[in-house]
Amino acid sequence: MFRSWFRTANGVVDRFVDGELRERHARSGLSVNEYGYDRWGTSRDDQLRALALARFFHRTYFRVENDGLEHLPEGRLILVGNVGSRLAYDGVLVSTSLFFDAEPPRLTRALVDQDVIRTPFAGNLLTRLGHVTASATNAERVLIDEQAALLVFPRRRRGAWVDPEPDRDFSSNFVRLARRTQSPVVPFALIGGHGGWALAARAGELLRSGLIVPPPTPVRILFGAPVRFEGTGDEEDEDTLPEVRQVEHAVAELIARGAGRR
Amino acid sequence: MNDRNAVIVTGAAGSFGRVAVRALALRGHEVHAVDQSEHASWPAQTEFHPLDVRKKSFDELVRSIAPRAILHLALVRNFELTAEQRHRINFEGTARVFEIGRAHRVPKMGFVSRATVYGAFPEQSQFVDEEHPPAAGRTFPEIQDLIAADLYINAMIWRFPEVETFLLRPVNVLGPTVQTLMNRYLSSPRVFTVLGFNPIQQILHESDLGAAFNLALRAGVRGAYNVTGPGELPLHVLIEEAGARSIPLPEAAIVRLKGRMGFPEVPAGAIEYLKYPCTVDGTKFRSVTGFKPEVGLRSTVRSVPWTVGSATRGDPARN
Repeated sequence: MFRSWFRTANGVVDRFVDGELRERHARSGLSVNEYGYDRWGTSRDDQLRALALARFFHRTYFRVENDGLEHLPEGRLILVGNVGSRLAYDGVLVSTSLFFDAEPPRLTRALVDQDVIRTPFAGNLLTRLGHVTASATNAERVLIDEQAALLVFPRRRRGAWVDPEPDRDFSSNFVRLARRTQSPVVPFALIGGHGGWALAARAGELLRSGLIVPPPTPVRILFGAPVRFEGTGDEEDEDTLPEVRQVEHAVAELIARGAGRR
Repeated sequence: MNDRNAVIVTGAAGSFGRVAVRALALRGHEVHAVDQSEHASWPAQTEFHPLDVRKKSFDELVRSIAPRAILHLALVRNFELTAEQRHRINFEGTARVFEIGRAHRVPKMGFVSRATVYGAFPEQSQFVDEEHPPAAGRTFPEIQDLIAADLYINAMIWRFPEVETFLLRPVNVLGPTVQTLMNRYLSSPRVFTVLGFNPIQQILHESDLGAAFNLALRAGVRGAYNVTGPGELPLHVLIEEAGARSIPLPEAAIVRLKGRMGFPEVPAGAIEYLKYPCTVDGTKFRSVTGFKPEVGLRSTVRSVPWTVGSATRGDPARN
C-alpha cells in the first residue's frame, strides 16, 4: 500500500524532471552503478526529484540571486557560511545555487548529525540525496574520494534560519578538515529580506524545524574567494583560531556587502 | 608424507569451507579437508579427514602432513547454539588451530572473520579500514566470540612474525551454496525491514570469496584485510533484486514477530544492520593481492538461491 503511494508520488514529481535537470546532473559528476546508486547510497533519481522541487523554491519562490560563483574552485571544496546548523531551506538554496547557477554544475554534500540518522525516514532520505553521516572520516573521504563540495555548519548556535548578524562562534573543525585534506574553504553569505526573515523568526521553533516555509522574500547569496590553509590538521585548537577568525571575517564582510547593496 | 604444497582446510564441510576447497582444488592445491561431518562430494585432489580440530587427532594430522598452509574456517554462526558452545568452537577452536600450526612450524595460516565485526551504528563512518576497532559487541553481544577470535588472530599476526598469518573480513557473501546470514535473509520469500531505514550494503559473490582465499594464500600476504565485492546497494534494492518481498515494520514489531509467521529468527543485535550501514574499505586487499571481483553487482545479487523467478535468470555462476 505504502509502496504504491510512494510510487505514485514519485511519478508526479518525475514529471518535473526535465532535460535541463538531466543534462546538468549528468555534468555534475555523480558516478552511479547500474542500479542508479553511488556507493554512499545516493540515488540519482531521488536527487533529480529533489532538485526538481528545489528549483521551484530557487527560481520562483525565493528568486535566488548569486554573486561570486566564479570563485568556486574545481574539485573538492568546503562551503562555510552563515547558515543554520540544520539542513533546511537556507542549506538547500546554497546547494541549488551550486547546481543551477554554477558552471559546471556542482552537487553539494552535507554532514548529517547522528540524531537525524537515527530518525526513521529522515536519515534515509538525506542519504539518498547524497549527504553522509557526520564523522571526520566520512568528511575526509567525500572530499578526497568524491572531490565533493561539502557544506558544513560550523555555527555553534543551533537554528535553521539565517542570522543577518555576523557570526563570532564558528567551531574550528572545518579548519582542521581543510588542512587535513588540503581543501579550499569557500566563504559565503546568505542574505534574505530583513522583513521576511524577521517575520519568519517570530514563528519560532516550528519554523526552526523546517516545517513551515518562510515568506517569499528574495534571497541573495554571495560567495567569496577561496581560502587555503597550510598545515596538517593535527594542530592544537589555539593554532586554528586565526584561521577560524579569518573565515568568520570573510563571511561577515560578505554579509555587509550583500546587505549594503540591497 | 612431507608435501609442502598441501593446504589443510578446517570446517571444510561448512559453507565457506566448501567454497574454499573447491577454489583451492581448482588452483591445483592438494587439499586436506577437515571437518566433523562428511560432505557428499569432494573435488579431485582432496582428501577428507573426519575429525574435530579441538581433538588430539588434528594435532597429529598437522604433524604428519606438514602442510604449506592451514586455512581455518571451522566457525559457527548458528545462534541456536548456546553462547558457551559458540565460544568453544569459534574462539577456543581458532586459538587452538593457531597454536598447533605454530608448534608444527606451518609457514602460513589463514583465518576468516566478517566485516560485520566493525558494527552498524548511527554514527559509524562508512568504508572503515582495517585499523578501525571491531566494535560490533556494543549492540550485538551474540557475536562476541567471533570478535574475540578476530582480535586474537590480529594480535598473533604481529606477535609471531615467523608465521605468515592473514585474517580476512569479507562483506556479506551471497551465492547459491553459502549459508551466510544475509544469504539466508534474502532467500526467504518474505523478509522484514525496519520501517524508515534502508542502509547501504556491500556484497561479494562466493566464487570471488574463493578467489580471495587463493590470493591470500600466496606468499607474502600477511595481516588483516577487508574483502569487498563489486559494489554497494541499498537494502531494499537488494531485497527486490533477490526476488524477495520486503515487509517494512516498526522496530518494536520486528522484535515480536521474528521467528514467527514465516519471518526468520535473528538475534536482536542483527536488526541494527537493517538500520545502519556497516561498510568497509577493501582497497588494501586489492592493492596487496591484485584481487578484483569477477562477478558483477547484478549477477551477485541474483545468485541468491531460490528466489522468485531465479530459474529463468540464467545466473552464470550457477552453471
